[in-house]
Amino acid sequence: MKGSTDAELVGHVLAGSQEAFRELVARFERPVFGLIVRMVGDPETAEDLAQEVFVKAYQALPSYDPGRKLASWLFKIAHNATIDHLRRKAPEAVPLEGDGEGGDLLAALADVATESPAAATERRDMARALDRAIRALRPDYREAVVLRYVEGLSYEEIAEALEQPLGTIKTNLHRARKQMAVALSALGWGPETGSAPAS
Amino acid sequence: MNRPDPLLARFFAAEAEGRDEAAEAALGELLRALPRPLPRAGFAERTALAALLDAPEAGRARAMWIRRWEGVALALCLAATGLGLPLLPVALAAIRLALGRITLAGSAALAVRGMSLLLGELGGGVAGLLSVWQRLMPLRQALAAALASPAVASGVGLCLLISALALRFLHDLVERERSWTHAHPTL
Repeated sequence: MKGSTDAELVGHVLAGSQEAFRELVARFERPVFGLIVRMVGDPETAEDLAQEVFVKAYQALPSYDPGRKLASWLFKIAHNATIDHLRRKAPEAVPLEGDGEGGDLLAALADVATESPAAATERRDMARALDRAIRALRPDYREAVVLRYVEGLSYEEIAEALEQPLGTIKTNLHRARKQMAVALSALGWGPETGSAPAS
Repeated sequence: MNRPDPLLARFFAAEAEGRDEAAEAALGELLRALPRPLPRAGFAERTALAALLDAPEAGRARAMWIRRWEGVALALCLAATGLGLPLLPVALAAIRLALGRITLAGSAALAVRGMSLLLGELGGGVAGLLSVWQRLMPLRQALAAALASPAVASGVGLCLLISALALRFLHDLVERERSWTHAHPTL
């Protein structure tokens, strides 16, 4: 199963293989969870939503068009599930400053096991700054940034997943980059200050 | 001591010079280099199990299980009825004894009192409704006069039909629409 293409995996799942579905989830759990956790902020809620996404995908798999990229299709379900969740529960404001916010996510982002203490600290500081810059973005910009720069989707795939015009996606990403540059500068990581994080 | 990150420097330089592709490449490299969050261990197994339990086949299996239990309950009821038949004369005698203690006059008085209370309440309700109806009479008459004309009646019918269809369409549209503006108060 591990060597199968996405299309083959889908075929196996449709044929009733539970092992294939587990492999499908294992293959896409990181990108789907990664997107959702960036949007909702809370890892526990994100895990529940990610599970909901895969269960919905499993049920809707007979209607999946193999001509489409499986990741884009899953991201579309994830986008819908996240919006539906946030409709039910209003999101909390995400402050740019402050150390106490998003501790769980930052802990997940900071992989210090394989680095020297100094490198790990620097990496953690930069991860923290980047995370804050991303979290400070509007949710529609943030979602596009994650899909484009973390998951590596094309503009067309993002437009399809988020059901938005291509031009909107390009504009959102352009503005998001500008805002991230401003936010990173404000956090002390700009070109004038070199790398001097406030924390 | 912190040193300038080359990727960040590339990103800022490209942004400052308006080189979109270079800025995209640098930011992508920067963000993809970060460790990515993962759900807790065993997520795939838990999800596969949840999908299996939520699957339509599982639903059908549950329905069959429920039907099987309904059958068992019916059989138990029939068995209880069969076993209870020998006790029927005793049960009937007990009921007859209980009924014998209720006098006809007492029962009739109770029934009459209950009925009069019920009628009183109903009468009050009807009176309330009538007063509302009286106030609505002019409106009803105006509507009746207007609707007497076939052209007006068909126009109103058409408007109602269009409104109903539009409402249905809008409802579907709102349900399907998943814009961030519907989920985030600041947008």
